[in-house]
Amino acid sequence: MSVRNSVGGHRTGVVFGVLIVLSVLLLSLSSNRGSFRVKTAGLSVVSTFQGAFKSTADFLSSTVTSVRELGRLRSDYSALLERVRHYEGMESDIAELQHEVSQLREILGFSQALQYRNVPAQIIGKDPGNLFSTITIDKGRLDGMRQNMPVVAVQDGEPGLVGKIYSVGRRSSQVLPIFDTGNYVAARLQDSRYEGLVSGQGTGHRSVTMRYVNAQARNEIQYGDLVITSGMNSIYPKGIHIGVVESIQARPYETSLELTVRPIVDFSRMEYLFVIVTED
Amino acid sequence: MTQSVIITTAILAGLAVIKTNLLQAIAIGGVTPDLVLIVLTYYAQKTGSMPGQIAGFGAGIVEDLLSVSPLGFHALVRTIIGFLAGLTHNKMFLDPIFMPIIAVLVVTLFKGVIASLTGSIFGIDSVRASLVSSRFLIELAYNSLLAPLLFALLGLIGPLHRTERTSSL
Repeated sequence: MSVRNSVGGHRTGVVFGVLIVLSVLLLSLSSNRGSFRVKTAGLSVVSTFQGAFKSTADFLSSTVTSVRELGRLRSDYSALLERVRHYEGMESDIAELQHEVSQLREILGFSQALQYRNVPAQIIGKDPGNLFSTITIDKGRLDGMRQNMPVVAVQDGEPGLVGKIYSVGRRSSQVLPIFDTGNYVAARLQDSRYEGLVSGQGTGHRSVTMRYVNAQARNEIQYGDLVITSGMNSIYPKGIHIGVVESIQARPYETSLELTVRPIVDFSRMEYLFVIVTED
Repeated sequence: MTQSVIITTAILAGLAVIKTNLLQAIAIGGVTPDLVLIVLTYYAQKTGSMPGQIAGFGAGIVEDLLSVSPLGFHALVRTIIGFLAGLTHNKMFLDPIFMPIIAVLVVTLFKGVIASLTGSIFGIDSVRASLVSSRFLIELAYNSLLAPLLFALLGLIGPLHRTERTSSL
């Protein structure tokens, strides 16, 4: 019995070792193109299920709403009241439809007004954990998506930078938002024209940091100044709004300033995004 | 064992996919409970380290595909969690309330430590300081409070109990 236990324990240890080595190998090779292809192929497969779950959720949500509506109607005592409530329901539906139409018109209008060629996309998922900040959209390689394409969103009629395409599957892509620590954006203050580098502070921090701003700019920068992309790196075209200056950190012994920038986009209420189609 | 590992891995993978959209509705301060971790803890405690680590590895790979994390990150964390939780197999008395809370609390802490260490070793900035963030504390509380409910629900699922019998052979 003890021999069997010993053999079983040994086998568990060997399998544990193999799995750990495999995980570490995958981690080490993550920057390798071959490994990235495995990841993007996998993304294509699992995002199919992600889309299916989204559709199911929408269906269940609408079903539950319908059942509640039915129960409410049955509880009405008079036919007249029931009829009025029915019309009220219809009116509510129309208002909802009008809201949706207006939202879609706004999106269409923005899509046409944007000076860059773009592809509208819908968010179908976010990160499965709380450590990373993934946004998954319903457009992929078949829709012309490619790695590093800039992504913007429009909120309250104002366009703002969301991030860039990180990996591309067949019909879905993953977006790396600007608040991720691995995302760097060449930026410029719109009024004073001073340049800097915007980078994220990680999941949970909704503000980003603009570093390497010339210390001489201290007297020319105001709270609320707009920060835009400078177009100095090859990923983001110039002139896209990033955010507004929230605070300024100036240390006497440093030659550059550090600005805290509040993004234009509220990441918690995004529904549609626009992927800017850039040429190679 | 093979069948139960496959079924459990599929359940864990499904939960990972659900976490990306459905579960966002119950997020507190943008933090969702780690259902994969809770189910993996339950499964590993019921069946041992071998099935726990394999199911953890499989679920971790699916999470890596759904996330911008480097491929292998979640696989490594979940494999170690599955292995460690499995070490308590047949060694813990599971009362319906307190033991699930304590088990999941400890495992979530382990997850934070392993993730931070992995982030430091492989230079993954976004997870390096995850252990000391307020988001981690919210997740710790959220996971622990959900544990008794989920453990009770999992007790009703057949395949996990079947595994308990076959794995003891």
